[in-house]
Formats: sequence, C-alpha cells, structure tokens
Amino acid sequence: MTEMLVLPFYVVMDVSYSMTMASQTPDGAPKAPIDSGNDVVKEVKIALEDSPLLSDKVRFSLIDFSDDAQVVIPMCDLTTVAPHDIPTLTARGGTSYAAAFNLLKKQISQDVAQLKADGHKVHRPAVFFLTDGDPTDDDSVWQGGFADLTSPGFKERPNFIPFGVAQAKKAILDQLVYPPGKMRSFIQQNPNDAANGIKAMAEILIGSIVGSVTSFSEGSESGAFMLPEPDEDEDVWL
Amino acid sequence: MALRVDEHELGQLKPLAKGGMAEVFDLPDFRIGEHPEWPLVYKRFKKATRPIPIFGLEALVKLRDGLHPDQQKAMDQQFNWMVRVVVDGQHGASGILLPRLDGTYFTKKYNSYGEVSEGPCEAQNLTATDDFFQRWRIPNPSMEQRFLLCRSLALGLGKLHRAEVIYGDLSLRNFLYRLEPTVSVMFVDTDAVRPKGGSSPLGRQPHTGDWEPPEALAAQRSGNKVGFAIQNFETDRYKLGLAILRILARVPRAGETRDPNHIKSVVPTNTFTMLQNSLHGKPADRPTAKDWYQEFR
Repeated sequence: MTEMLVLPFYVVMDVSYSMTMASQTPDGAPKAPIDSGNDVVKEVKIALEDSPLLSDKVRFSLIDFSDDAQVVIPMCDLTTVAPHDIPTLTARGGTSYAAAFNLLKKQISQDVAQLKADGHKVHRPAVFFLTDGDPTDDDSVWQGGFADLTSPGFKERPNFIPFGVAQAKKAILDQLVYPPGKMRSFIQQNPNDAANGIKAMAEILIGSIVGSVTSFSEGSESGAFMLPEPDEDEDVWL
Repeated sequence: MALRVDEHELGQLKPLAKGGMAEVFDLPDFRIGEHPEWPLVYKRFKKATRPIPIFGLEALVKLRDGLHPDQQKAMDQQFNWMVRVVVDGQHGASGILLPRLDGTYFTKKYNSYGEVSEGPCEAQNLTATDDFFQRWRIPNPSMEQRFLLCRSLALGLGKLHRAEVIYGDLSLRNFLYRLEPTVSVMFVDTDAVRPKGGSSPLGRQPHTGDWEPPEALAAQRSGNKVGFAIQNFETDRYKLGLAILRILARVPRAGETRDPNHIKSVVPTNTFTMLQNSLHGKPADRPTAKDWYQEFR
C-alpha cells in the first residue's frame, strides 16, 4: 500500500490567568486573549473544511499549558470533529513552558508512531506556541525542556514557531525558534492588543498550512514546512 | 494600447481577498478603453514578492492583445488573463489588472458552524469524496459532467499551447470550474505562465507538491535542482493527464493518486491507454491537449 503523507500541526496555547485579561479590539469590543485562542481552532477547522487537499494531509492537535500542560484536542483530522465536541480553553495557574515542552515531546513521539502505524508517511511536525508572558519556571528548567524537545537525538523534533503577545519578551521567545535561521519568532508590537495578535497568529498558521501542503514533495528532505511572511502593511509583529 | 497604468489612477480599492503572494482589490472606478464593460480587479503583489520585472508581465499583456480577435475571445472564455501592468513608482510592477471573475465560477460554501459564505469554485473540490459535497451542500458533478470538465480543461490548455505558452505550475488549485450554464473550467494565476523560449515573469515556479512529473523527481533524486524545476510542454501534458485522472477517480485522497487503475473500469479502453501514456510513457509520447480534447468529444 502506498504511504500517504501527513503533516502534523500542534498549537500550544498559554492558558495562564493573565490570558483572561480583556483588551480592546479594533472594533471597540473588549476581548480576552483566551477567547481569541478559542477562535484559532474554529478558523483552522473552517480552512480545512474548505479544502479537501488540505484536510487530506493536515493533522491537528491543541495543547494548553499553565502550571501543567494537557492535550485539549488529540491529533486528528479536525474536519471530522463536530464544533460542539471541541473543548473550550479555560484559564488556570501560571506559565510553565517546561510543562508544555515535556508534554509535547511525549505527545509527538506517540502521535508520529500512531500515524506511521496507520500507514502514513509523516513529515516533521510544526508547533505554533503562543504565550502572553515570561515562563514561571527557572530558566534552567524551561531551557532544558526545550533543548530536550529539539535535540538532534529526538528524531521527530518539531519546527517550532513562538508567538508572543501582551507581556511576552522577544529576548526569551527568540530562544525558542527552531531550527534557528529557518524559523522565526513573532512578537506583537502592541502589548495592549493581545486578542488581535492571536487572530494574526491564526492567519499565519493557516498560511503555513496552505503553503506547506502545497509544497509537499516526494523525496524532499526539507520537511516541506513553509512559514509565510506576515503582511507588512499590518505592522502586528516585531 | 497602453500596457501599464499607475496605481493612483485606479480610484477606490475595495479589498476582496488575500493570498500568500498578493492581495486582490475590486476596482469600482476603473475601466479599460477596449473593454469598458469589464469590471476589473487589481492583484497587488506583496512586498515580499517584489520586485517583479515589468517587462515579462507586459509581454503577457501584449501576447493576448496580439491574438486574432476570435482567438482572443476564445482565450478570454477560459483564462483570467491580465490586461494591464500596474506600477507605483517603486522598483518593478506593483501588480496586474484582471477581469473580475464571472460569478458562475463562485459557489456558496457552508461550514460546520452553520455559516455560509461565497468563494471561488476551486477544482480541488473534484478530488473530494461524495461526503464532502453532501456535507457542505456543493453540487457533486456526475461522471458525465466530470468528462465535460476534462474536455474543457484540455480545450483550454490546447488554446494556450497553440499560442506557444506553457502553463507551468498546473494543479487543481489553479483553475476553477462551473456546472451551469455550461460545464467549463477557468484558468487563474496566469501571471505565472511563460511563453516558449522565455521565462515566467514571476521567476522560476516550483512544481506544486504531488504534481511533479517523473523527470523532475528523477532530477531531484540526483540533486539536480535546475532539472527539478523545469516546466515545459511535456510537463504540462503530464499534469493534464494527472488532472484528468484525479477529476475522474472519485476515491479517497484522489488529489494525490497517480494510479490510472483507479479509473480503468469507468473509462473507455483508449482513454485508459492515453492516461497510461500520459503518466508512464516517455515525455515525448504524452498525449497533447488536442489529443485529449478529441478523446472527450
């Protein structure tokens, strides 16, 4: 049987309490970042529903994290999940990056093995990581977790794209770009508009899904992962 | 005939759509002299895509303009072809003007949240299973309509090849289809085509994944990046055969299949043989667009 290619996308969303602090959106209505986080899944799902070529190849998972991390949507074809079955993100606790990295590594190992067992050829996973602040772990702990996740010894190490809104710092998130030089960080220019920043992240995520699936190529060793340039006229990101 | 227009002459720009390389605007205030009845859109290239040389785009405007009026009319029925190059005083072209697409190539789209929108009826829908059409309430073309779509596709590509132009990055994302009032396809993204002997105005175009001809994959395996990217009449013919297979296959993940056996039971023997020659024969033996058109008549 011919192996069918799939590309796993993970969205890893910070659900610390600060994600509930509403900011003004461009249309004037206040919106909490966590609500925009919930919209991300809907927007990805609609984009996949709209395109049989995308839904054939894209597998999606949502993980949230605060003091701990949990799988909110296990790796799946998102078009097969009914909207009312999609859990709503709710805030809890602090911001442990390490918890997210450790769970991600475990999940990626399991998910890739499962997809392969189902007869798929699996491209390198992509992780879209969103946070609104600094990690509450000690530096050595989160840095160790990230090093572990992206270690050359971890065969399924993902492409990692960090997004920072509100109080997140570029100096920290730049350390989470993997592979460095090929991927980049996205730090919101206006820290008071986190909800809009998350919406912009969804656009980049969907652009990446479309670009990556379109570039899939047999025999390619690049992982076929594409990251679109953000719209230069919108000035959302640093 | 003027080939280029300055962006500031266009009047109001109403955002219509946004893609990876460009943003599209409706132009309610602007018309061109030779077709004042045509509503137009402006495809503005994103900064990351620029600079794009004006010369190559103007050559494509001229190419259409130089056709015999009958041939021009025939091209306009199936190609969303650029009619002007737009400049904005910065380096290279800022974009192109295109006739606004006929509403018959749009379809209503529902989603699982019960929302409805209208968008271009992309040929990629044709690779979906019956479930997709039922779920999103999009008309599911019958086999007869699918054969007519294949005929229209071959007719369009034949017109382009007769004008000595290579489409290049043909895939089911680069043309739209309709079932009413007549079954036909409309090619889009025509700014990426190239005249025989020339280059594409947008530079070297990669093959879309899952559409690479065997010679491109062989070149890639041997590390020949230039060979991998070559697109010519033979690669267009390969992709035409692949598109026909994928339109007719009606199997899960039809958008990726390269196996003609999927349609062996639903096509005449000669069609099957032509498909085998398209996908497994030598490049020079691949049926032309004209051959396919005659097969589907």
